[in-house]
Amino acid sequence: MESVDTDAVGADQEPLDLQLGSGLTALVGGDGSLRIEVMELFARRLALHDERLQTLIAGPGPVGPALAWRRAVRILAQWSGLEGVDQEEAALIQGGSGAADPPLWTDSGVGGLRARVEELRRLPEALRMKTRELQGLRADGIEVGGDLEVANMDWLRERQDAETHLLAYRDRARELKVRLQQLEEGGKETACPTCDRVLSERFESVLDVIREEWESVVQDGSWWKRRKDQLDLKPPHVQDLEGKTLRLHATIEECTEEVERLRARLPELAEAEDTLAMVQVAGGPSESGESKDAESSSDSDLRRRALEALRRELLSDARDALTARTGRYLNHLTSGSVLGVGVAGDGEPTIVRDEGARRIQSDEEVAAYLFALRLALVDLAADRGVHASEILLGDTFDRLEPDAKLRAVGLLRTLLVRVPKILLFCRGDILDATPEWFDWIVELAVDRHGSPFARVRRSGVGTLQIH
Amino acid sequence: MIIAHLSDLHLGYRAFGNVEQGRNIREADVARAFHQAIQRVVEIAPSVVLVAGDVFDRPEPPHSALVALAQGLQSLREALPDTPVLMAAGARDTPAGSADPGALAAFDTLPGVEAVTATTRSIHYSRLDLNVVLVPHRSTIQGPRPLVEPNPDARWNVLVGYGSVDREKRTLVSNALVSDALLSLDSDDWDYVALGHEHFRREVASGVYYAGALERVGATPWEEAAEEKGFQTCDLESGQVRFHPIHGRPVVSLEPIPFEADRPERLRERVREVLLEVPGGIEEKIVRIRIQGLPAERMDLLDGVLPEYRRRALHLEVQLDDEPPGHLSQDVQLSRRLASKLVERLAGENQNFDALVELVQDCLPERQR
Repeated sequence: MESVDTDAVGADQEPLDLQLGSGLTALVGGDGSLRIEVMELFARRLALHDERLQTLIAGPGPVGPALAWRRAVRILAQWSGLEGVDQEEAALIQGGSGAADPPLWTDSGVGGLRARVEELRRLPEALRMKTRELQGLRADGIEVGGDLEVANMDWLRERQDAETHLLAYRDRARELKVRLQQLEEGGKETACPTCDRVLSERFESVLDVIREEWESVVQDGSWWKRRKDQLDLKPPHVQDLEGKTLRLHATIEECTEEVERLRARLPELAEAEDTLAMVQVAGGPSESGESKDAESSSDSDLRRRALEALRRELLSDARDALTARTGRYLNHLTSGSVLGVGVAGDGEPTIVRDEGARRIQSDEEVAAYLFALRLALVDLAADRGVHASEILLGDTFDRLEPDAKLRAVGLLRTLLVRVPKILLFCRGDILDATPEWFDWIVELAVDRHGSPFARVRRSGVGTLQIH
Repeated sequence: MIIAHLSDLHLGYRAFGNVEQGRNIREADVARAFHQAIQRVVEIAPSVVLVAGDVFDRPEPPHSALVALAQGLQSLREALPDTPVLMAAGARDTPAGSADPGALAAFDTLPGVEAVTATTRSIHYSRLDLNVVLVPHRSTIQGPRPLVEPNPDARWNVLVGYGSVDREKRTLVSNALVSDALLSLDSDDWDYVALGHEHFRREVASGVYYAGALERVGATPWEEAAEEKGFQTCDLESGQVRFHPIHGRPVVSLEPIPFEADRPERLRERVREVLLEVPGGIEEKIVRIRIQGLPAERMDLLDGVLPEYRRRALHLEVQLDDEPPGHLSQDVQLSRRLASKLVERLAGENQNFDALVELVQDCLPERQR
């Protein structure tokens, strides 16, 4: 399943941004960058510019369990009413109390952090732009490389041709010169080189013909000599193309580094957002002390404190709901060997086994946790009225243990009632193990010209109609 | 004229990671069930043996699964040399690459065995006056539509197929509802239709049957816990269908234990009681215990209880379920609950509960939209 016949160019090749039917689709083949490209295409098409929806549809990106957890909590809380709290608070501040009582973040010097979040929020778009630029450059690179190869071949062929002609003319000139010498030395008694009879009175005319031919050969040979000398140097257009190729390669390298640098910075966004959210919550009046200090009986002050309390409740509620649902999914994924999940005092997620709670350790545990968290967020978002019509699941799936993979696919099938289209990046082994659980198979590949494409075919079980 | 109908053997199935003498225990269970079935078939001595798909658990089965099938076929051949064995490949026997016939195709070369993996095949046994049409999985998912017709010259017409029967499945094409099915048949045309794919035994229509799997090999065996597994025979002359149970490893799905918030310590006791109440004990069985409504922060109540039982059972699955949903609507429940919590948080502030409910509702997404 992993190998795709890329030579078979046919009508079944589709663009990457393909529209699929409902059901569970396996996306196989393609390298990491192609998968990322498909992920981004889908996320962009479905979520437009809403980063929370993008997280719901395409996942939180390459982040660890702690960051993924905090981000999921914040998104879920926002969809549960935190957005409303923010709006109410903003209205409250604009309504008058804000002038005397500035917003919390300006008090606590969070302005810089907020600006940083704003700056980092531009990262995904910058990454997309840069990735597109890189793709364009790579296409140019392939094109210019092709042109250079053709020009090089033409030049070498012409040089070889000139050299061959020159050698032939030299040989012929040498041969004619020998003959002329023989004629001149032998005089009229020389035998004709063609019929072997004595030349006598035809001597002069034969000598003229041969001399004429020799002169012509020498003249033509000189031309081929100049042509060969000229072609010993690389033609200017080949040199131009070589320079262009080198410059393009350098730009591609630079652009690749920039893409990697931007991609590596993506987790910073989640972290900064997370920190900002925490600071905003922590910056609110405490439950006892500060609220007593204020001693304000004004409605707006009380409303503001109520909103802060509501913010805490919504975050706490989101944490509880995600803990419970992620735990259930993880419990199922691991055949009950993991009982649930929790959060340690320092905010690091934990998993609960028979012997109690402990931190997530192995790669398989991380993958299972992230997978369960993804499903839990999709599920709980739907409970809150945020429905994703399609979701994509990335490389965490392939890192699951074999039994967990089977269960994961089973879970995805049950999730189809909430999300009509689920796309799963996976290797062919899971298709072999449970072909009937997938409705579609999409093979991703790159054709001989370097253009990516998708090939779609039906999977699943045939339907028998019985009358 | 008796036919034996087996399906969903899933040879090579592996689960739970328990290994004995280098072999997955569940894989050995499945092979054992198959050999039991073969012994029973030999006793019955039918005129023909039909296997309706999913002979193997995956298109690249382990060698042990190939050996198990070869031994089973050899036993049949020795005991019933004139009884043909007809197999149609299921999804699990069919590799994704359309040019790859799969491991099952190798058995098509054996005398007395037909193992159809790619296209529909019709076989006529004049000695038995029997015509059998074998429709493998690949025929039902890839065009062209297979030609499936009974033979009017044969006394008995039998069809062996693999797939799901869904009378409701229709696709809207040009404003008309069209069936997705590539295979459409009239049950009246056939004396018996042997189907595979579903693990539960059932009669789909008159004379159209799923025999079910020989063992509980589904992803969630609990759904099959109460279902008897085995194969069936049919006497075509009398129309009498008989089920022949095969006794595999017991799968036990226990009643859920609700968590009692007012008596949390009772949970450990209940888990022990429920597990000890299993008739014959849980030893070497596949067991599921469910606990309902246990909050994440009270998982510690289970600390140290389970390892002993996990050792005794072949597999003990502890499933934690959500609480059954309440009666109040989500919106009302959430806003009032949050308002109550706000009252607690803002204690002593002379709160107006209704005003807080109003505030919460203003913030909730439902009101926002």
